[in-house]
Formats: sequence, C-alpha cells, structure tokens
Amino acid sequence: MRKALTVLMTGVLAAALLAIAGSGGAAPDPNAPAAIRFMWWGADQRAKVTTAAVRAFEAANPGVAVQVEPTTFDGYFDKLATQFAANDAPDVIQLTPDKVLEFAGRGALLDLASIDTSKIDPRLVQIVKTERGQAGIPAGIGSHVMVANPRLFVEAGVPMPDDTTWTWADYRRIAQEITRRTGKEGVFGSQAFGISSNGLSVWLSQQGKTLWTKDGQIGYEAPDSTGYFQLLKDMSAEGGLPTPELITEELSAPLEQSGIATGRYALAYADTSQFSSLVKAAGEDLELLRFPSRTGKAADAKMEVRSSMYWIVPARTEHEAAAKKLVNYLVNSPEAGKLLLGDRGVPTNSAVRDAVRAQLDPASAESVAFIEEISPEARDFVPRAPVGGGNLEEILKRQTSDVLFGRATPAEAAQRLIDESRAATRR
Amino acid sequence: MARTTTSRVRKRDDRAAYVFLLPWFVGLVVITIGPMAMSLYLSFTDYSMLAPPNWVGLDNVERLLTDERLHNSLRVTFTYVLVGVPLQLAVALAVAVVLNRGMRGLAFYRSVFYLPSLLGGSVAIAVLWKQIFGSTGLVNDVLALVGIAGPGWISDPRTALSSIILLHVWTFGAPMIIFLAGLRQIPEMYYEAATVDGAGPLQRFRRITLPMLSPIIFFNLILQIIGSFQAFTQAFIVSGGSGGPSDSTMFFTLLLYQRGFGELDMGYASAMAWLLLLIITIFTAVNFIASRYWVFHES
Amino acid sequence: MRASSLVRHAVLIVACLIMIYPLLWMVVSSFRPDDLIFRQPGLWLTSLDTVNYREGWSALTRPFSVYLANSAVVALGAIIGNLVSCSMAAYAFARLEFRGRKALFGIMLLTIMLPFHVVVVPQYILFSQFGWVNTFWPLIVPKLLATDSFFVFLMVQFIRGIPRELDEAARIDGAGHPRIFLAIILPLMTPALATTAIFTFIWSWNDFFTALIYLTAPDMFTVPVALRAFVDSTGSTSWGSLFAMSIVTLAPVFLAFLLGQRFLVKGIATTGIK
Repeated sequence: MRKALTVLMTGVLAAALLAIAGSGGAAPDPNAPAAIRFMWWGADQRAKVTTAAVRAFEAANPGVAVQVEPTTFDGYFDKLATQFAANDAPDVIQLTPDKVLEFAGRGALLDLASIDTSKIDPRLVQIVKTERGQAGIPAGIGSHVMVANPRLFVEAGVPMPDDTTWTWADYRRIAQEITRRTGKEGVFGSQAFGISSNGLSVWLSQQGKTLWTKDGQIGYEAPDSTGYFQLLKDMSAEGGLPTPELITEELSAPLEQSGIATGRYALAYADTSQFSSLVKAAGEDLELLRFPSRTGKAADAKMEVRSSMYWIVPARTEHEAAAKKLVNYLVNSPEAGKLLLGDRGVPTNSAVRDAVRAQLDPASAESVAFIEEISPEARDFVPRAPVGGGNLEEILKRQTSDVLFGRATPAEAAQRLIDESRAATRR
Repeated sequence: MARTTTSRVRKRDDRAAYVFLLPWFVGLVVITIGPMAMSLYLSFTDYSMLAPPNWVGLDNVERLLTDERLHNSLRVTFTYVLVGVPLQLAVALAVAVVLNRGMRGLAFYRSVFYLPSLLGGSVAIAVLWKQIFGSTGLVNDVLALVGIAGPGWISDPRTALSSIILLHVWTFGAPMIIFLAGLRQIPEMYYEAATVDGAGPLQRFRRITLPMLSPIIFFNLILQIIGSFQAFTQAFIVSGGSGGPSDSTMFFTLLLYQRGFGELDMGYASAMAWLLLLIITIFTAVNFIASRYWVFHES
Repeated sequence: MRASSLVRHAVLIVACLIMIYPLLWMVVSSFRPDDLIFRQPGLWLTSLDTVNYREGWSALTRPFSVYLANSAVVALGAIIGNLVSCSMAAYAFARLEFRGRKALFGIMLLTIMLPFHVVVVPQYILFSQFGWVNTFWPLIVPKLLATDSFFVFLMVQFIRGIPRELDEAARIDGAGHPRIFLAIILPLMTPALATTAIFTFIWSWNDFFTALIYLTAPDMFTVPVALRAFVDSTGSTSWGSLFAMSIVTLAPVFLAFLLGQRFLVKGIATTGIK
C-alpha cells in the first residue's frame, strides 16, 4: 500500500513537471498538407451537413486537410475572443455581420476580396466591406419577416391580411381582434416586436432613418423610436400583444417554446432561416408575410434581405490560400450547396441556389420563393453597427422591458436607447 | 524540548515542507500568480483581445466609479449575498436538524435533498426553472387554484432576483451535509443533561446546538459568502446571459463577463475583477474579526 | 412517538417532492415525444416511450458513450490530481514548521476568493503556448498542481484534528516525513480524501466553460459540451434527447454521491473546523 502510494505520488509529480517542461509539441512537417481549422456554431444537424461538405472539399483538394470544430452557440464568442487573444484562432470562422465589422474594425480579419462573389447579391457583399478590404463572405440569405398561423385567423374569424397593402393600424386592429375573439388563455394576436434590433431597424427604415450611419454614428433621434415603444405599450395594454411578463419571458425562450411554435400566437417575428424549424415545431402550416407599412404599399414596408452569417478568415492565419479555398468552396460550389442546403439560410450564390432548389423541403422552398419575391422591392442595405454596436440588442431589451413594466415612458426609453447606444459605441 | 532539538527539527522541516509543497507551489506560481499578475496589468489597459493591450493608466478605475450599471450590479450582488446566504444556511440547518435524529431512511432523504445541488449548471435548469416560475408555471398554477394571479416570477423585474435567490436556496445540499456532520459531533450527553433540567426543544437548540455548531456555521458562512459574491452560473442560465429583465439579475460577475467577452473590453473587466477580489477580501476579513464575538470555542 | 415520527416522514416526503419536482418533470419529459413536452402540463405520463434515449444516444456526431468516456478520463485525472497534490500541500501546512508558512497559507486562502473569469484569458494563452489546446491537460494539470485551494483548506483543517501524538510516536521510531505522511496521516484522513474525490468528481463532471474553451474537436468533447449540441439557439432543439441524455449524465453523479455519502458526512465531521 505504502509503496504503491509512493510510486503513484512520484509518477504524478513527474508527469506534472514533464508536462510543464515539455511544452510545444512536435514541429510541423513542411511536406504535410496544409492543415486548417474551421469553426462554426450550431446544433448537431449543422455539424453533420457541414462536416460532409468539408469532407467533399478535402476530396476535391488533396493538398488541404481540415479539422472541423463545431461549437455550441453558448460561449461561442467567448471562446473565439480567447482564441484571438492567444493568437490561436481557427482559419475559417462563422460570424454574425455585427461581429464581422467589430472584428474588422480592430484589424483582426483578412481581406477576402479575391474570392469570387459575382453570383452573390452585391448588397450582401458590400455591407461587410471596410477600408481594410472585404471582411467576410455571406454564408446564407435570410430576411426578417412576419410569420402567421392561418388556423388561428380562421378560429378568430379574421381574414388573413394582404401583406402588400397592410398598415401598422391594420396590424394593431387585427392583433387585438384575434386575442379578443379566440378568447383562450395564453392565445394572443401577435408576438411582441420590441425585442430585437431587426424590428427597430425596419421601423426606422420606414421613416427613412437607419440604426447607424456610414461613419458609425447613431442614425436616428429619440422621437423616431418613441412611436415604436408607444405602439408596443398600447398593444400590450389592449391585449393584441402578450402581457409584459410573457414578453420578457420570451426574450430568452428557445424557438420551440415561442408562441408561434406552440400554436398560441397568430402572428410573430422571425427570420426566414428559422421558418423550416418553426413549421416543424408548430406541426401545422405557417405563412410568411411582409411587415406592415406606414402607407399601405409593399415597397414602403422596407423589407430587408441580408445574410445573418458570414465566413471570415483571421488576419494572422498561417494558411491564407487554403482558408480562402475552403470559403470559396462553401459559397460557390454546387456540390457544397447540395450538402448544406438551407442550413444557413437560402444559398447566397444564385447558381448554387438553382442547383439545390429541387432538393429543398417545402418550408425551405417557401423561404426561397419569398426571398426571391421581395428581393426586387427590398430596401437598400443600411450601414451596419460600428465597434461596440453589438450591444444594441441588450440595450433595446432593457428599454423594452422598462417600458412594458412602466419604469420608463416611451419617450424616456427612446432617449435612453440613444444615450446608452452612444455610450456603448464611444470607445 | 531542548532548544537545539527544536531548531534541528525545524531545519529538517524546511526541506521536507518545500518538497511537499512543490506541486502546489508550481501551480501557484505558474497557473495562478502568473495569470493574476497579467490580469492586474490588463486592468490598467484598454484590451480588446483582438489587438495588443494599450496602457491607459487609471482610466478603468475612473470608469468603475462612474459606471451606473456596475453600481446597480453591486446592489444586486449584495442583495443576493445578504439575503441568499443566510436564507440558504437557515434552510440547510433546519433540514439538517430535522434529519439529524436517528431516523429511518436518513440516507435516502439526504440523497434526495442533495439532488438539486448535483444538477448545478445543467443546461436543462433554465427550462426546468421556467416550468416552475414561468407565468404559466407550477407556482402560478397553484396560486390560480386559490384565485391569485401570480406575476411572471422570472420575467418581472420586481421578482426575478427573488426567484434566483430561491434557486440558490434550493441547492442547499452542500451546507446541509456539512451541518449534518457538525451535528454528529455534539455529544448526546449535553442534550440529555438539558432535558433533565427541563429545557424544551427550542431551548436545547438555542443553548446547545447553536453554540456548539457555531464553528461550522462560520465555516459555511465564509465559503458561501465567497461563493455567492462570485455567483454566475445560475443567473447566466436563467436569464440567458442577459442579466435581465431590466438588469434586475445583473450580478457583478455577469456584468464582468459581458464587459469582457461580450463587449471585448477585457481591460475594464480585469479592473472589475480586482474590485471584486477587494470586496470579498474585506468581507472575509470582517467576518473573521466578527467571529471572535459569536463563534464558540470549546477550550 | 410513533405518530410524530409518521408526521415527520410525511412532511419530509412532501418536502422531497417539492425539492425534486423539476427533476421529476425532466424525467417524465424524457419519456415524452418532442412535440408534447411543452404542451402537456404536469407529470402525468400517457406512455413510456424510450425513443428519446435511443435517439439521444446516437443523435450527435459520436455516440454518447464517447463523451461519457472523455468526461470519465477528465474526472479521474482531476480526482487523482486533487487527492495527491492537495493532501501533500495540506500536510505541509498542517504539520510542518517552515519559513513563510503563514504568508503562503494566506496566499492559499486568497486564491479561493479569486474570480474565475478574469484568469481565463491569461491561462488560455499560457496553455496554448504549451500546445495543450484540444487535449485534456488544461482540465487535469491544474488539479495535479493543487490549484483547487478549497480542498487544501479542507484537508488542513482535517489533519489538524488528527492527534499529534501519533506522528510523534512514529518520529521517535525514526520515521521521516514521507513515511509519517504515507503510513499515518493518509490512512487516517480517508474520509477527507473521499470528500475531495466526490466533490471533485461532481465539479469536473459538470464543468462546461473550461471544457468548451479548451476542447475543439468533437472527439474530445466532454458531456456538458456535448449536451449543448442538442440546443440550437436559433433553430430547433431536441428537448427530448437533451433531457434523456441529461438524465444519463446525472446518473453516475447521483450514484457516486449515494455510494460516497457515508464518507462525506464522516469526512467533514472529523475535520474539526474549530
């Protein structure tokens, strides 16, 4: 017993010291294929299709080996920032557009201008172009839309609105009527719209304003968003929207528990990339709608077509050529498209889109059709957030719940939204 | 013992001590002190992690003084510590006292009461908690039976912190175990003597259990206070990392984490960490001093 | 007496039920089809469907056994590390006279108070310099080096409770410190070692953040990281599988606790925290 313990102790000590001393690991073999690392966030389904696409890429490019690093969304950006701090970031990374600009603004990203983007909507590409070059390549198209549940409209005896002509007043009336006429516990006309900057962005665009200006300033004034908070408060009070408690609770609710997925809300806000999952979770038919407008004209709804994920390559990568090759393959190759399908949204490359159309499930096909329908009338791209602007979501959520719980008047919340956004982007 | 012997023994101890302490010391210097020193340095810099740090002197300290969200997070954290810790310890002690008498199924109860603590920071916690405290959750279902419309406990800024404190109280397993252990140490004869003197259960608790247990209460108190100042996981999971609604569950460490990793402002976050370390150290020191007046020592 | 004991049991059982209602709900949900989990209230189960277990086990890139095995390796390494290094340090602090003891002990206590998030980045930079990213070393080596000061503190308190006469006697017989430590102190502190082992197991088994940051390849994922792969914050989450695998994950911890709890109570009981 004693001897065993002594041996164990010595062994453990030696192992610890050796491990500390023997740092580094083997030197890289110059003849080995370029080994690049590729990281994204998402659930396991995404990991499967993406890994399949990577294997196809390796088969087509014998000189490159790819290590896949699927990561959970929880902690993704923490992990990424830590890796950048240690100069240990993967070579190809999936990132949100706001973060792309934030990272690019600090000089951390490689210029990807040499990647072919000729078949991609130029607006999607332009938006992450900085003075340092092309910071990212769009990975999939989506649009912030309204989703309707036809069954609840029928139950309430309210006709489905024509989304090319409806106004905010129509929306307010319809939501209230549905809540009143269905009269069921927990059933509401519409989900709240104050909870993401996408909704605010639409609201501002319809008044000819933007969240941010090109030079990174705030693109609107307090009165421009007062009406937004006012409508939210009024609709919640009169029943068209859920109660303040339910609204805040859903700020962090998973998709499956949202009111539209559980058949409790007749209208909701979503991204087209979520549509397929929503239909599956709801287990019934759902419809895609344009936003209401101020004038009753579809073009004035100022729908936005955008990419919610971009591929980026860190400036300090040691495998620039191989990394770019992989990005190019993911975006421009029909083979990759056939494996990835609609996982990150509608394929950005129009040729790839045509190649995979036949393989899409009905809900994804509907998203593609909807995107193609609104693309001509979609608004010009608004400038993206400056450094620090990524905090807008949190700031907005705070103001929304303050308004709902009567801690701030709509005018106060609108002012604070500006003040806090300014403070967050000052540095 | 002769003086020469003592010094000889001491000399030999020095060598042996350094050998025994070697792994700990290497860990302290390399894994703890090194990173600590770096974070101290970073707290005087502007550091985004994407670019090298920039020395900014006392700017971060100045920000600490004027950052209103930070002051709010201190209020939240102090409320949590001052309410949550005594509450959890009281529950743990009460359950331990009830479970202490030799009764059947003790191991079973002990295990069941410990179960929630095992769940820790599981992903499922957020969903489970919503099943109970959501506006359509169990608590409100029960309240509805008696005709009360309960608030959305988690989503109403007035009650959100309370529900997280409750979540904390719910995981009273570890201090309960430590209390149980302490209760076992109190000699049965004290109770017998007191019963003979005609003391009731309440008096026995106040006159014997509390003083005899005070060192253990103190131990639990110290560790729980340190742990609660650093509370992070529960608030992070329940609020989805936002500290919402309206910053009502914005714990200090949660804000630190948001500033550091969310806003890529690691210099400021480091300054925050050192402020927290200072606060905890002061609290612990005050506790040690105060313990002289209420912790009972047998000898 | 009998009636009061009955009442006590009744109260305790009700309290138990309230305590573990969320857990029961999770167990019940793990036997429900995905689309009913958030629609069917209460704990009533209409059918006992094990599909979530079967699907959850093989739903991820690797079979769930891979993640369990990884977690087991990390937990085992952490336990051995903490047992060996913490007990050695504790012996020195509790029994040996040496220069700088008070100062070092104070520093040891101070490291318990250090907020974890702030050393994450420097530690990552350090370990990545060592080439340890995507290995288990960053999860195990800190334990081998006794960085969990909590346990050192616990063991110090314990050893102080062991009568000094025992090591004095051994010393007179000519035993050196290694022998006293191995032959006398260690066997006497078995309960404290068990406490350390169980707590280390639970903490390292549940540790998400460290594992997330250091482990990059799916082959290396531990259970907490793997469990989150069921969750997609923007898309669909397989709640049934998540709950089923959460229970699979919880089972070993509960078992460890059930088996170890005797030592646990005894362990802390004899530490003489006074």
